[in-house]
Amino acid sequence: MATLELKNIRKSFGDVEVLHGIDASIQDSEFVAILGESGCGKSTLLRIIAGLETSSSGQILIDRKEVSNRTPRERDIAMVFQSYALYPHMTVTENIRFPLELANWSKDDINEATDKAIAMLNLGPVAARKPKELSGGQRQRVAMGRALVRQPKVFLFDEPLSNLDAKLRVQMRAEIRDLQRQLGTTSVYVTHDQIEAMTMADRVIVMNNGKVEQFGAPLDLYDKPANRFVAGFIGSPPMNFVEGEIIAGETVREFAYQDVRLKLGAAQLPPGPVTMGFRPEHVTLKSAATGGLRGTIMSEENTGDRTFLVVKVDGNPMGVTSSVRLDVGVGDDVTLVPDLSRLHFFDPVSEMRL
Amino acid sequence: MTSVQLGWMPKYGSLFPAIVFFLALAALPVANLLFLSFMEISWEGGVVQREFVGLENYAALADDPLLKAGISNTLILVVVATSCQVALGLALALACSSLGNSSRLYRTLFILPILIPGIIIGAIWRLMYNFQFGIINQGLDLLGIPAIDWLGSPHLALASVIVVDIWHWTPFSFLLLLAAVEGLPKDVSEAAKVDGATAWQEFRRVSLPLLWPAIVTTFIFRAVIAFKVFDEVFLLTSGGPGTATEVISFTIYQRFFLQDNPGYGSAISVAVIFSVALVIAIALQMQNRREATR
Repeated sequence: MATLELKNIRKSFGDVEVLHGIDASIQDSEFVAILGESGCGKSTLLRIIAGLETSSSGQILIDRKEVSNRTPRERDIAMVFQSYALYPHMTVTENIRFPLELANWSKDDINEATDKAIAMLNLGPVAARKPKELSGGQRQRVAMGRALVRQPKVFLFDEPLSNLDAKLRVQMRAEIRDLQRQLGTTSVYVTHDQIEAMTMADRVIVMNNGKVEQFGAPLDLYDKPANRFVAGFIGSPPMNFVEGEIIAGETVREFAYQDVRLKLGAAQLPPGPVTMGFRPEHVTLKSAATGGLRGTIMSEENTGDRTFLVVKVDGNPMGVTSSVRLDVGVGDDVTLVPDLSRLHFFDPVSEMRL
Repeated sequence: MTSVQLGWMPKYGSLFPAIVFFLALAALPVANLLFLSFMEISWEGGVVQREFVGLENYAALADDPLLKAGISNTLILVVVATSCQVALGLALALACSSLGNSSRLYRTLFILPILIPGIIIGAIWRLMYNFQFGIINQGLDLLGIPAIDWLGSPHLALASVIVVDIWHWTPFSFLLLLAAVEGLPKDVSEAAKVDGATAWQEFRRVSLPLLWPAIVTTFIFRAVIAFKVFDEVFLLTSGGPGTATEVISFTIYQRFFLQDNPGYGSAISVAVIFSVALVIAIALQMQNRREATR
């Protein structure tokens, strides 16, 4: 168990800088997810933490000791790879024992720790099998076993669930989280799946183009996105955006979009151009032609528990979700009335939250 | 779409050209060799005379001193040269692979010897080994070491031929093993690093077991080719001095052509073909068993 600090980590491949100064401070026993789209630099950052890649500049501190120039074996970390990276010529037991043998543990200690890990991960019935004879979920568990058996200071996970089917992913999500809580090991988990990040992590680092867009608790990212990127990235279906203006009304500030006026109550926003955002679940549909954004329903998807509509407002598709079944259909004209208490405003130039 | 059930005629008919090629290029020459090995062949008045002698030619194999020397030298050459070539090929493959793209120049340099025709290799090395003006002896002279008769000494001639064979054929092992090394899963190697393995431990415990099937295959391929070594021996020593560098192919050549004894030469050839085939079959069987338990 340890703290992990990243200070101004930069990485360039030739002339191209892919990480533009990453700072993060991860607490002891914390589970932090690094979330971002493919190519945003999240896996590169994880590999730099592991020591498999060197940073162009910056510092990595594990337990307040700088490890930036140390080899992976000197960092006391364990990593679960996307492909699991099990040793194909070794059995499950041998795979789990291997890190302990390399660390020169005594035979008795190795046997005890291996047996414990195998029991903890329910791998007993397949302990003598080779990786090719295991299912995806079993391979995943072996990779976990190999990582946890050594009791490292930090666990690193590189999209470990992306090769599993949806059902198994949900199951393994809970298993990994439970194990981490049980062991209390500081963990960094890279994923492009926001559900994984939101449900597993204590805090989430949202990355985009090699930069940290926001680092916070999952619900903070959802309720108070720091900028338009995070607002659009977190949440599925994504947040809707309307380019409008803040004007001073007779008594309170108002959001103005064409002839639509939304009274903002006590919100003290500076008058001028603004990007207003609202989530698909924070909007109600009305048939009346006034009091909201007027549009036409382009598509309708019913999943039983929810209805998802795409409504075209002035050529822009906007999502609407409802847990109540709606008596509307494709082609109907409707008015979207956002929940005024749950609007988000962003500077249209800097895209930062106002 | 409806499927058409083909009768046996079109099925086997389509294989006919391949069967004809196989028979003409592989089976018939071997069958002819087998047939000749039971014959005593001579020419009288320009006409070939064949006399069936049964297993006489095979019985004579055991008493042939030249063949004994050939077998012994060939086995030494196969084991020593092939082992060295596989070990060197593996070392070079690992070095090149670790250098990545910057190893392109080395890769080209390493495979050059295999591209040079045997006759030129013979000429190059004869000159290098030359007692009076060879570059090796000139180098030794600079170090104050007296000149050595590399190809003329019965104790050194076979070793000298083996060195040339290693130089000539290491690129073959290098190419096969480089493909295997490049095919090793990178993430497994990274997992070993994260698990705490030193470079040697990673090689010994992870890379080597994964490369083992490729090493065995390379060894077998190379051993089979080494068994047929002829041009290097012919050009460097012609089997001498005495029988110091006599190898099986050269014995066959001598008995078959120089001594004009096709029957006996064929018997040696058949015996060698079946011995080599047997060794390959046993090696492959062992490899398959090992694979099955992996």
